[in-house]
Amino acid sequence: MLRPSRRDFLKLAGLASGAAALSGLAPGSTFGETKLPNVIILVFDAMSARNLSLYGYKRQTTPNFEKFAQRASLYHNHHSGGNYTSPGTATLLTGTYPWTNRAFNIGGLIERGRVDHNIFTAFGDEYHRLVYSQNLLPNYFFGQFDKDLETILPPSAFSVIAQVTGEKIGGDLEGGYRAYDNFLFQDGAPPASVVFGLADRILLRSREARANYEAYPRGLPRAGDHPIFFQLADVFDGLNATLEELRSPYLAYLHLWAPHSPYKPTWEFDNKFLDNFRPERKPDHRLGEHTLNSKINGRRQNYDEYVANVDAEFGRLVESLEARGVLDQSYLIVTSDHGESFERGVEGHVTKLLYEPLTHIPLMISAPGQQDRRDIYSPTNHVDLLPTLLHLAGKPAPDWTEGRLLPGLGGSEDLERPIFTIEAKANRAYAPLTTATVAMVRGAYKLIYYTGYEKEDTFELYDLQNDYEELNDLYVHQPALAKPLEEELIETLNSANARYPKV
Amino acid sequence: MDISSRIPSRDKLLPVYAVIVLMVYSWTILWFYYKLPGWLGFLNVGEVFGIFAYSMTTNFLESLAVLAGITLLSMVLPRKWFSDAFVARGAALAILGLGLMMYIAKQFETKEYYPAELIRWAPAILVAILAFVFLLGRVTLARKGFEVFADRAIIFLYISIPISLLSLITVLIRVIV
Repeated sequence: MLRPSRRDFLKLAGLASGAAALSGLAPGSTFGETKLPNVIILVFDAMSARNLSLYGYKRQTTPNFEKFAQRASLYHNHHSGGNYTSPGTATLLTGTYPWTNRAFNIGGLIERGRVDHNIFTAFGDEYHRLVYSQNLLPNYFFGQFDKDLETILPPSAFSVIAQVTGEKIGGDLEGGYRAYDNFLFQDGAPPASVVFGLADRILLRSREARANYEAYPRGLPRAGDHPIFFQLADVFDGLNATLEELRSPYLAYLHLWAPHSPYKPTWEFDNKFLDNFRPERKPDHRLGEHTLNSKINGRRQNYDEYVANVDAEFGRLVESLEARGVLDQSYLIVTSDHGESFERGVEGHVTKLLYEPLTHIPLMISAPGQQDRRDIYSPTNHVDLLPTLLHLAGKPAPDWTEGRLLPGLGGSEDLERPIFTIEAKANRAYAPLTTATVAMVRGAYKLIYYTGYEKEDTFELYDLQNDYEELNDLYVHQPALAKPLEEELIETLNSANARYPKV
Repeated sequence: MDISSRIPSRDKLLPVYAVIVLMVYSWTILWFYYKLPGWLGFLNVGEVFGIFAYSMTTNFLESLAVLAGITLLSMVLPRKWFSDAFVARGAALAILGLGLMMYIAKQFETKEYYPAELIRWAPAILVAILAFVFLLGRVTLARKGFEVFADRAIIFLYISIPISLLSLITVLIRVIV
């Protein structure tokens, strides 16, 4: 594992700041006023940094990511805004934390009064703004943002089989997805429409049964409960072709389902990691799901194989973009919306927990024509992407964002800056957060706050520099260290809650 | 033969349609109430009403489709088999046929499970239901019972039709505006 010492950490952080100041990456230096850079945001759903060899994972899951990192800024301590898609994506797209944008419920929406506070509106119409997500949850946001989007690719694009009804309701995407795909024709639960919904389910299953599974030993990858079956290669090829046809400058938000479960790699990657790797066993968390460790390790292997499959396709995409000169004109951002857990009795990410596998996500940003690697170690968060990308496009950061310019791309290192990840799906969007988990990373330390689950609120404190696996809880033993962090976290949460009346 | 002469009169269609409405709308409204508490946590009243409008519009189209199917069956089958006791047989077919569909729909609890055996047998079960419906029309007491029930169900049309039309207008406005 890559575990820099505190001295290395500080040294590298300083170097990164200096490099940024001297680099030619500032807006306007690479591009004149007449030529704006393209911005491509590539989001891999549920990709944890902790399972990528790029970040020191033992299994060689991401050789192509590592190759790409040689020409990119690599953020080693980047965190999501939440532990699943709605808050994770909303944080990225709005530059605000879930307690501000309020998209923390499953299928939740950006607070209606803040809908214009998003990256697409902020970029403006001089950019062609295109969005695509195989995951339906971000499509709810796209429905909210649609007046500032030139192209909304349907979630079924590039799929083998798809029966997404909401995407056909062009004038009311958000309502269409919610009414049909999340209710009347929903899969994973009895359809609420007994005639058309049932017919839709039977047709889907019959098409699924007839589909060609040859390349996939465990069946075609599917976008979770959504009726979308796809082949990874088709999706990457489709996105590649889409980018080729876009007029510059463009802002493309491309959100792929993979490597989200179900983990279904092709033959080439299936059983690739039949090895003796046994991750450190961690005790089940009392708020976890208590899944058997043997099952968790098996699923981790499947996940790692699927990540390797995604990595190979990513390598193919980058080669093509490079050959066509797209990377010379574009910022390519590679990241995820949240992580994935294979520890403490929790498999997946639908959980109350906020340990690093769930919140530590990859972030690589390749500037146009960049040929060198930069490593950034200071804590960063998805809230930072919006102001940073606007800055790179020569636009000012709006005053409503809670993010900062990323170090190395216009921002400076601030090791003492707190960043937050919030899990609050049990709360009402219009009320204060009372049943929630909040993680705050400040410098090397991470404080996790559990409130509303049990009789008493609890805290955990970890030193991420010296305790990479978060095994040694310092909260009780180091009160002098914990107290100020605790006060800061509570004060920030109270401040966020103050906007909402108690019900 | 003039095929239009075999279309049941409005007086006969309405009670059958009322039974269909009762079945189709009830199923959706049941699930709607199941989901409602969750939605109220993050959707506003207008957004929840939007889902309701889509649901009622879909139910309206579904109920018309089922009525069309039953009417077509009555036109195709010999009069003695179906048309002679259209209200009772239509109502019974709606209850049993839609009941079967509800049972099958209930099996789709997870995306992994597919009730293949049940669906394979569904056409045979439907034929058995048709046979039952035919026999039922010949039993006076049962026929009367279904006719009375269907007649009473018409009351629901006074609620469902205005709601459906309002919902249809709402959906059109949402999609167009």
